Amino acid sequence: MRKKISFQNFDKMLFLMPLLIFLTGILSIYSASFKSGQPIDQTLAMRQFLWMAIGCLFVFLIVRVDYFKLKDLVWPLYFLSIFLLSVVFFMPARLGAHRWIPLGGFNFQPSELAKFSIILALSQFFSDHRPALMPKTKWAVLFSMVAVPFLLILKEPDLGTALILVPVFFAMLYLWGFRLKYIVIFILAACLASPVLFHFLKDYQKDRLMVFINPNADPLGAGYTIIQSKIAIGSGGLFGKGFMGGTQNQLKFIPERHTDFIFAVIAEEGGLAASVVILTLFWVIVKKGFRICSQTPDRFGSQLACGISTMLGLQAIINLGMTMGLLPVVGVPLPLVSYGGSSVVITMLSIGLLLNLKMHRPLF
Amino acid sequence: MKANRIAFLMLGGFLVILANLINMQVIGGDYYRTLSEKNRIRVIYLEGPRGKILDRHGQLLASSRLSFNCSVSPREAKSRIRPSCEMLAGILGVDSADLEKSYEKKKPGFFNTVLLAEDIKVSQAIAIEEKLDLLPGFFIETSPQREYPLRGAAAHLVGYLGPMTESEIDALELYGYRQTDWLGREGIEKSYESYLRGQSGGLQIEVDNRGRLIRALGVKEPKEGKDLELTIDAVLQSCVQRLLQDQKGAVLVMELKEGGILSVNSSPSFDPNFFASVNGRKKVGKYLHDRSGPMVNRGIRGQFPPGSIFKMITALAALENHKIFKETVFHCPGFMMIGGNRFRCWSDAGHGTQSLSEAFAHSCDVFFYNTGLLAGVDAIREKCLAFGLSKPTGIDLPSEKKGLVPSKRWKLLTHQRAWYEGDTANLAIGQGYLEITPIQALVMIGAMATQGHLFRPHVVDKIDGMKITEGNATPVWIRPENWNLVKNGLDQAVNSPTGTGRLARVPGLRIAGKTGSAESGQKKTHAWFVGFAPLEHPKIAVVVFLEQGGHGGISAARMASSIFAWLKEAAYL
Repeated sequence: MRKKISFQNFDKMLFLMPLLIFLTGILSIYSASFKSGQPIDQTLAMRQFLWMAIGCLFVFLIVRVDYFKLKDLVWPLYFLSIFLLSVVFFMPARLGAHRWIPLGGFNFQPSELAKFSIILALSQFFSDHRPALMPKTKWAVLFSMVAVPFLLILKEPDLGTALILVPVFFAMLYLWGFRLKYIVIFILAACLASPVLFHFLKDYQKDRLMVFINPNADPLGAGYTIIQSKIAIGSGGLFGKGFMGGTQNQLKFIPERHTDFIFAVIAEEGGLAASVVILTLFWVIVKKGFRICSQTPDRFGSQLACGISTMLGLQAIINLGMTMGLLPVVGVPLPLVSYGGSSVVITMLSIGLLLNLKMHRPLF
Repeated sequence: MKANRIAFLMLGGFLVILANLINMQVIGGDYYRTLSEKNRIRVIYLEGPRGKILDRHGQLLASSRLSFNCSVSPREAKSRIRPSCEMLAGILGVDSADLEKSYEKKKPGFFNTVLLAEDIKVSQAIAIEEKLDLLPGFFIETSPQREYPLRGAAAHLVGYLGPMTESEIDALELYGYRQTDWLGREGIEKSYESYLRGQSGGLQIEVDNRGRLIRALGVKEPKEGKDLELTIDAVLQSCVQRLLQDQKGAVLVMELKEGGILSVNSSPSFDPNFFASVNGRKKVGKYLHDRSGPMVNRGIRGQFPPGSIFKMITALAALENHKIFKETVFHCPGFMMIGGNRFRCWSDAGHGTQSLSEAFAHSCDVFFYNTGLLAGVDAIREKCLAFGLSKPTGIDLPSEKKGLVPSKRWKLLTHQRAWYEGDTANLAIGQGYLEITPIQALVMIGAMATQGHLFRPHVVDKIDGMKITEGNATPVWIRPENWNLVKNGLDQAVNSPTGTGRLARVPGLRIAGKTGSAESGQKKTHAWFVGFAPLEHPKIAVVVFLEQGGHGGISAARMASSIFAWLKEAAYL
């Protein structure tokens, strides 16, 4: 017995908040990539806007479908992601990384899709099995479901996206009923293994971790980004230097300021006021996500909500933490704010799913 | 339940972010704002050019020209320094490895700038300026470069500039000096530093991450230093230096109107231009280690026994105290026994019976032994002080020495010995412990010539067109008849057929003067000649001092003659 599709249950706030975040983002992208004399339709902001339009389209498509019907798509989508993650290695490298598949006018980033499809696949898996009754082979399947894309993404290299997968996986495991004790043990083991893993990182990734510990070790090289970003954020003060008025931004002192370090632009030009607004919006989305998680009676749905909320929240925390120098620079985009089509579309898809979960809540 | 726990954990993360935001933007806001201002605003110092130094006819003795330097800001050059250095090396025609090496060596903090190439050609500066887009962090600075056209001839007079020492940086920071400023180190450059120095201004510009100019924010115009006009005649100054050649010594010429110095030469000399450039400074070591002391301005910093030129003081001391008179004569057998010791006259044969004017003419030592003993050391010392000996003359050049006039008390304190008659005899002929500087000799002879005007000699006449010296002579009280007696003696020394200074004569000019050949402790004596002309209305006083130059009556008097001849030619006399 299911309730009919009804937009009465459409959570307008949950749709409005991403739009507000996006609006802040697009203004910052405009400010960060402003070149005088450039026609508006050629700006990055305009491109981002088009991606958002596509994202919104997906939202309206996905809310119309009963999410249980998505179950059939889970595994094809998962294997498509694995396939695309493999294809990436045969694509030309950009900035020393194989992260993108050029598709005509734009570059598609399979790791974004992979995050999404892994959450779907895990939800599917967790709804089909119980931790207590699982044979060993199934455990192996479960871990390799995460490990394979994790390693592929790590190899690209895209440390940030790969690392996001781990806590998302843990959160979903925990919700599933996995003993907290084992998760803690697992995390401790990972910490002990980290010096070994460090050895396998690329040089630039090592540098970033080292400068995280001491940014002034190499102020002109790897530490430059974080120093400049911190200066930008701190100098914003309470109310910022005004739109297009951030000197760190306009004079190009912040590197990667329209992608990973976009928050530095917001914090510089909008100050604490804008930062807190962004932070609050993200928190409200995450909060709503977990509420949906606990209110969705079926396991698939609640796992999905948990995975998505954890992913969005973590991305926000990690991105902000890294621009502020609290976390190492690992390259995580700020959802809906950082420039990048794949990220925007996938994030909107995730939001769409959350909306869907709320609308199609099964009634028993 | 579980979902709430995960959400709670997330909230923790958000709160940490929030706390840190508040910490950075509110609590640390000012700190980061300062950093961001430092990032974008660069102050380009505009140095105010140093004032020029001109001689009395407006000829340049020191001036500044614009020189171009190429500097780099490591913060902006970052990893592109290697290709940039290669490009710069191509333009300058030097080895790029050397540039990189000096970059690495001088890179102290990454907010500072590094001076890579100094005093490059204008064309090179333009070439670099055109390619600045490809040279992140590089820029061309201009700075005034000091030039001294007279080179060695006025080195001690004009001086030179040098970088500040650590302690000076601390002391002078309050006065607006910057660490890279140079200070006057010698001569006028030093003593008139505060006038010559330009007030540096600054240009505040906004730059982007590669150090490229976005716009100018503000400017404070630099102020030029003040120009100095000297009493020096550059032609005479050069001319005298040529006369001196390599002979160690000092020559001073002073006008007797106000005490303005016409020329002040010291030899051996040095080229101050070497100190002005970085390359040149590598060569100055030879000056500093040269044992003949080319850096010492002997005219004001050299202290020597005056020898017979001091006899005029001895005579005045005795005359003023009524110990001798116009008619007094002494017999000179070539020596005199004082306290059981034989004090020789310079002429072994003796001068026979000598009057005061004859004694001056022949520089008879025995006459002045007697005179000195009659006057006594205290009276002689009193006259010394009256004529400014044993204290600096106050010339506006740095580090003047004050000489030494001994006294009974002084001897007791320094040598723990009593004062003997023989000491008085030695003092009477300008030997023994007595030491004076050539500039003191000049002031002394000037006072003789003007009958009592003890000038404070000076080399700077006008600062920025404003006259700074007037009426700066102190009087020396001597009875007129005694002035005349001494001046008559000085006249005889040059103009008597047997005068010791007769080589100083110049046809058509009545010169008065006194020679001196002072014991130097070496084989050759120090040669002195002090004199003035014309006798009736003295206008110019001259001191020639030649260190171990032999007899004053020969080398020194000859040089004085050339100088008087030149002065007559140039219508000073």
